[in-house]
Amino acid sequence: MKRFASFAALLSPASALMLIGFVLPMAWLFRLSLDRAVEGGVLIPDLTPANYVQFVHDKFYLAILGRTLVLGVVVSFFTLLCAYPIALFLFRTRSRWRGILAVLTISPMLVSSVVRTFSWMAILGDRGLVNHALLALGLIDHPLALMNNMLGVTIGLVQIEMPVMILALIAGLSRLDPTLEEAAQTLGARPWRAFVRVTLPLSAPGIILGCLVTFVQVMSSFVTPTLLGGGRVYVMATTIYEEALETLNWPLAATISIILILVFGLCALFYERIGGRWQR
Amino acid sequence: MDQSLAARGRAGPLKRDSALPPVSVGYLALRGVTKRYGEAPPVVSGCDLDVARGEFITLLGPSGCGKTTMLRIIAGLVVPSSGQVLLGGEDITARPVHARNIGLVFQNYALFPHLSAERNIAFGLDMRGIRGRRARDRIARALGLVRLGDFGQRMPRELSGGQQQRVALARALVIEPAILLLDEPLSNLDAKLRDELRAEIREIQIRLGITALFVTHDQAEALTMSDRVAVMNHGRLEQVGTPTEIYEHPASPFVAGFVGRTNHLSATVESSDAGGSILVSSGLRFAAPEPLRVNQSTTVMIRPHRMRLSRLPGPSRDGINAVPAAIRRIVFAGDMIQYEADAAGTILLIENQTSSHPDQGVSAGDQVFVEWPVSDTLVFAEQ
Repeated sequence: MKRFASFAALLSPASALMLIGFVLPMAWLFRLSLDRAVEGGVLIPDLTPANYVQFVHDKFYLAILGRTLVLGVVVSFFTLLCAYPIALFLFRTRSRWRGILAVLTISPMLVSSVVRTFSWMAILGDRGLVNHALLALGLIDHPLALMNNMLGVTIGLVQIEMPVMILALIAGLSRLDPTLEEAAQTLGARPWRAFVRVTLPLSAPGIILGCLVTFVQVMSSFVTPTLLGGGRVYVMATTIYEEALETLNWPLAATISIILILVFGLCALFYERIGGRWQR
Repeated sequence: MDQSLAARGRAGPLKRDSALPPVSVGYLALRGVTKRYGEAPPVVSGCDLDVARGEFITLLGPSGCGKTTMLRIIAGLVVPSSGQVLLGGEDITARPVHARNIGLVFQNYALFPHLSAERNIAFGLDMRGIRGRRARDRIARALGLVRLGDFGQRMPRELSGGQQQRVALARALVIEPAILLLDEPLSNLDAKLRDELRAEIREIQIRLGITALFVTHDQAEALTMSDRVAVMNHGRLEQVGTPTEIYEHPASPFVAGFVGRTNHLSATVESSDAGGSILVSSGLRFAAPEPLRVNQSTTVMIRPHRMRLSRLPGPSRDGINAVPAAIRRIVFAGDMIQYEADAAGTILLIENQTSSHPDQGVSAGDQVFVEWPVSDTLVFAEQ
């Protein structure tokens, strides 16, 4: 009993914070999603699932959900592809620059994603670095559409998510015994096969964690889709913003938020299931 | 190919007729193998070693002596700076690890944690394209060999250290490697298990007739398991020989000091003739079996178990050295009794079997004589 009391005492600050900062606003958001709004943003208190029904029946909103999910999967995949070699190198290298390289790798996190997105606009724009160089070399006649579309959003998000992915992968690899790959090689595996059969499966916990974090962050990303999408790429977060601040339909914005949270919940559940299998 | 076979065929009779020392090439042969990292002194330096087919050879040495690097060079995990590695007469120095057909057992087992014992063992077979029924038969046999018949389905984390190392051994053996390399495989196990597995590894090695190279810093392991022992120090091979040779006729003070306990004295040659020499070491006089240069500085080593105590001033019998000493301490260790004696300032350690030397009624403070056969006085001239 005394034990329980001390547990409760230790948990109370965190519990209080979670209650005030998360649970109550969520409850309020859910309550809001059951209200109705009429033209002009007038809020009518109600208890109706109408907004949810509207979301599920409207192809426009379903397409946004689908696009956001696809963006999350695609960005996670390419982020993993770009981040894995770097993480593996940082894990394996015995160089004295290792610490500095690791800090450099995650240093983009020191810069706001707004700034990073703006620099991508300078690179990917019609008169940006890439198009300018390609035009000057005579390789293309017209600038390539590298932004104001899904491609631009994807490129920007992959770069922005890489540091987090690398950190997750290094954390996953750190439990890997380097002699395992040597053992595989002595048993006749070429380096590539040793990697595929031993290192890759054993780094799965890091891969799953990194992909989950990236996916969730992409699903809720707002700045990059807004700026690099040029107002033409609609995802969940931008739609919530529009419904709330432009259409002034707060109940619908709340509904979309709740649906996004449900997706996160499903991800967490999935991680519990899959992640549990790989835990020692 | 034919040519090299013919050449090897001729090498036999030639070798016997020649007055020169035999230059037979071992099944595994190292030729001037050296490994250096940057400007530091080489980790392995000019090592020559020949291992016969079916032989169990141990690389013995203190940590940092280069024995593990040597094993990794043979496995192909480390590329030597110079020198050659030959296996079955073929130069494999430049051959990559996966093409060497080598079984390697690691100190930390290195089992694949995501695969069951069976699938760990299947790995090497799979890499060789052996799957299905043929693979299952061989895996079952390998598991039987290490007495883990019923443990195939277990994951490594569900096995004890000893069982994990047995699986690792089965995994290395199932591919029928050209040579079995063992890198301190017993040092993570407790003493009882270590003895058990030591005997088991040796038994399996003899039964399969496989060539094995075992790396250890434990001299008891080296002496009990091996056909031959190669003692390493500072990257060099100090001596290669049978356990008896290494123990009874160490080639250097290092070998004498590292293998077994020893009494260590600095002595100067006082006189010498064809029958032997007399040495002096801070007030002690004793004889050595071989002739030496007078005034030569030497290091003398005498095994504690070759010494015994005597109450009488041994009337300098032929072939026996005797020096007066005072007993300082007596340690009873069950089957063995240890005496520490002060001989004119030099502390001598004497070890006797309790059974063959029942308590002589000696107690601390007693004045006695420490005796040992002249032939057991090992003398190393100092450079």
